[in-house]
Amino acid sequence: MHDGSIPPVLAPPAALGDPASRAHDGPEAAALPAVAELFRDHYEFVWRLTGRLGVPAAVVDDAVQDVFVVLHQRRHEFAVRGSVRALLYGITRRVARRYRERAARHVELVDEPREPAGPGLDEELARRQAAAVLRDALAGIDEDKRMAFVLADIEGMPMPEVAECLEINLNTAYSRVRVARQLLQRAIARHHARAHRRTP
Amino acid sequence: MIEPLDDELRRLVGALREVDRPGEAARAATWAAIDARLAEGPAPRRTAARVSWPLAALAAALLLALGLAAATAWREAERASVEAVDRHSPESTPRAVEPRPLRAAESSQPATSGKPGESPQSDSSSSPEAQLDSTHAGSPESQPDSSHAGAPESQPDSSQAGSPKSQLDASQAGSPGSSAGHHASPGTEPARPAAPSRRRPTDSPSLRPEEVASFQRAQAALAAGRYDEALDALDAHGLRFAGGLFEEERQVSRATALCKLGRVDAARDARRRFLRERPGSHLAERMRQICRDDE
Repeated sequence: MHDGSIPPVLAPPAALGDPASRAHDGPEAAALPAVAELFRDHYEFVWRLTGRLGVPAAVVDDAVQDVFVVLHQRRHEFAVRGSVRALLYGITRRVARRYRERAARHVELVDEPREPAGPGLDEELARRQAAAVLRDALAGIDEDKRMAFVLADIEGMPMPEVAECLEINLNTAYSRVRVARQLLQRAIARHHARAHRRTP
Repeated sequence: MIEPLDDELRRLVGALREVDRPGEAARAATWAAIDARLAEGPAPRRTAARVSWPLAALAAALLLALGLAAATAWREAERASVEAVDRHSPESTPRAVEPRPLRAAESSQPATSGKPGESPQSDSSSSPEAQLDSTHAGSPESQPDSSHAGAPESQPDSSQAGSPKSQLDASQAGSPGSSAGHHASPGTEPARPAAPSRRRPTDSPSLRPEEVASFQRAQAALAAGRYDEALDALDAHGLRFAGGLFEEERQVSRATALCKLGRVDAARDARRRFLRERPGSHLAERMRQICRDDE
């Protein structure tokens, strides 16, 4: 069981020399695997996260590149003291913030008009619409709760790992996921009500 | 313990998981781009600025020395040619030497290179050139090496994102998964290859470097607004790597290039064909936006 004292994910290697933290972490504090290996195992995770952290679709691939390049270039500053995904999450969050700020300055990047799929694609269309409903609902809640929900319920991460990613206490993580679900359910209900009113 | 999701939320989460999925081609293209960026090296501007001043001073000194050497050599050549003309001239009188030297030097300069009297001049002029050549020839290859090798000692600031590649390689060599790594160089410094090795992720065995390079060339032309060139490159890529890994990207880029070139009908045809043949592509949305302004 997680004890709530979550070690910092992005720890400078000097911290590994601290006997107390070393004893706490045990043999798990290890060097990062090669970037190719990380890319192979976690590309999709990073790709999805960048989108859900608000990076415009047009530049998601660029942001993903940046995450792995930063990871490679600054690997000496990082040490895996827990989950690799938590480390990746920390880097992705910082990269995503930069891209969001840039997108805010260049409004055209944010503009993502969506089209219904072509004829004969009803199932695909329904899936896309359902995904869009959830995406819109997610966009309407604050990042802390959104990412707790994303990591726990969409990525299917165990709660201790979610807490580690978000650098919060386990109980707080549970609480955020619960609140996020409630907010999403309300937003989805509002969406359905609006859709109902539109259709005669 | 957290409760399970309700049915509606579970359905939406399932749909989102289905939809938000990158394609294999996007994955390969992203890796190719990362690989290229890592191969280029970090090259932070701060380091470049620090290195550029001494280099500029060195280059200026070298140019000055070269200019002086050339001027001296030219004067020597002039004197030597005048003496040679005088020696070989049938009416070599002391009086005739005076008005001739300039004309003789001018007219005989190209033809005098084989004369024995000028060999020191050619040697002296060639040596700075050779030096310059060697420095110039060496710079593109040795510059990254020297800057990489020199940077960590002169500038141990590791907070900068661009940490030298040699350090990175060394760390990878020690990492558990380094055999599948990008720059797995166990010998680090002595066995450092001149050109960085470009490895691919192990799970994309069909990715060919020439295919990636060919597609990147086309993308670069497209990004630079050279749409004709991009179109040619994309067509050539399609012929050479028919059904290749970048086929979807190629078609989207091709439609973009056609649209930018004003060939709207062709772009729309390409768009329609793509959406008909690949409705579930992750690029379908992007393709739908191409040439829409003109509709």
